Amino acid sequence: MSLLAAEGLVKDFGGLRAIDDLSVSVDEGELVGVMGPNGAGKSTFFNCVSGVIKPDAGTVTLDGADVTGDPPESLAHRGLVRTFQNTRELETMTVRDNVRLAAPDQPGERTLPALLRSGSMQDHEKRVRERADELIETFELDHLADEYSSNLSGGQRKLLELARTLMLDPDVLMLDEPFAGVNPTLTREIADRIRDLNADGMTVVIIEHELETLTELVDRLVVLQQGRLLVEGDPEAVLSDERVIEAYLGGDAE
Amino acid sequence: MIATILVIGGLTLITLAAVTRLTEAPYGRVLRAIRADELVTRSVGKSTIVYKTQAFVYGAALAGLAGGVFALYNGAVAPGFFTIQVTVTIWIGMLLGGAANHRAVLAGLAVIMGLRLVSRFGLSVTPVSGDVFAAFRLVVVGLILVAVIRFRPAGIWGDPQELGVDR
Repeated sequence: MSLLAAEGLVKDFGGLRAIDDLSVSVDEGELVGVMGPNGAGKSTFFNCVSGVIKPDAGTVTLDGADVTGDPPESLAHRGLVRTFQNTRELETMTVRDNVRLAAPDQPGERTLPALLRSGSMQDHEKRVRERADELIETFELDHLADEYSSNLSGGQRKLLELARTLMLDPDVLMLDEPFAGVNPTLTREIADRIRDLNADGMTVVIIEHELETLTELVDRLVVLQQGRLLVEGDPEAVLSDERVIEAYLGGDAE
Repeated sequence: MIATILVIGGLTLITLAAVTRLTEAPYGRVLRAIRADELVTRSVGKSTIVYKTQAFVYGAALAGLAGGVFALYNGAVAPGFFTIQVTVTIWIGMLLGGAANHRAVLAGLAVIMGLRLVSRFGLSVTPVSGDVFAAFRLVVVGLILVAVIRFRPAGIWGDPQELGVDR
């Protein structure tokens, strides 16, 4: 059974139909790439699934439960976490605090344990700090740990965003253009990390323009065009599909 | 007089300690994250509406406590005591000291309140009427606000990087 499924999603912005009766499902442990020309509805699809915007019609199910229109915070608790196309760092916080923030179920985030500095809160915070430092080290950001994240480069921000989401140990990770504006070396590095995570059982959905990296990385490609599903399947097959070539290289689409 | 200072100073210290504890704990981390980017904070699983409501309630409760103490000290209160000028004065004190830093806010308020005391003294030695002097004082406070925003947007003791302002 699919872990994450979108059925018949529709979203209008004014008179523009951004996604139109779109159905995509992702199996547990799969690594799926979503591509399509500009304006194909990739980000809108992500936003609808991750609860950032409400779809006008259709349903989203996560692990069998209907989560259509659920807010991002409750989806995060259910194990679905996303990143953003234009990295959204908490710029006025340090790299460390960015990662620590994402720790789930921290009792110190409630007033009384925070005021009383309860033992369980302090123990928990100690584990959170260890885990955050581990992640920061894995992503080779340790020399920047005490910097404000506004001082980071584009690629470092992508790494930080990934580290932050991993703090939540999600079941489904949705990455919106994780390679955009990142140099080739770092792109390979991020791709390797994603592959490792997927090998460890995490389900990953990626939007990307960087076709080469994406086709190498994913198990299955989903191509959107004008808000609809154009083609899906094995990366090789999809890329040689005439409809895809036409959508990208011209025809009436662009 | 000394007893009054002790009581009010003590209450201030207790409040400062409680607020500092709260903001140094993970609770404060969530609040700072909401200030930085609410959508991201929600995306990592924090119910930001709860925090925003709580922050409002705690702020209102502290203001209520301060109002109660003020009433005890004065022996009487009337609606006319709490004009927009009180809000503006507190707000300017916060900006002057540096938002997001408890001690800086207290220091900023001390500066603004000190200015009022000095100007009260000034009134007795200048030959203008009280009305004219009050208007003049407002102009000075306004100029201070403009100067802070222009030259030190994070306040005197505030951290520009933490507040996300350009120097």
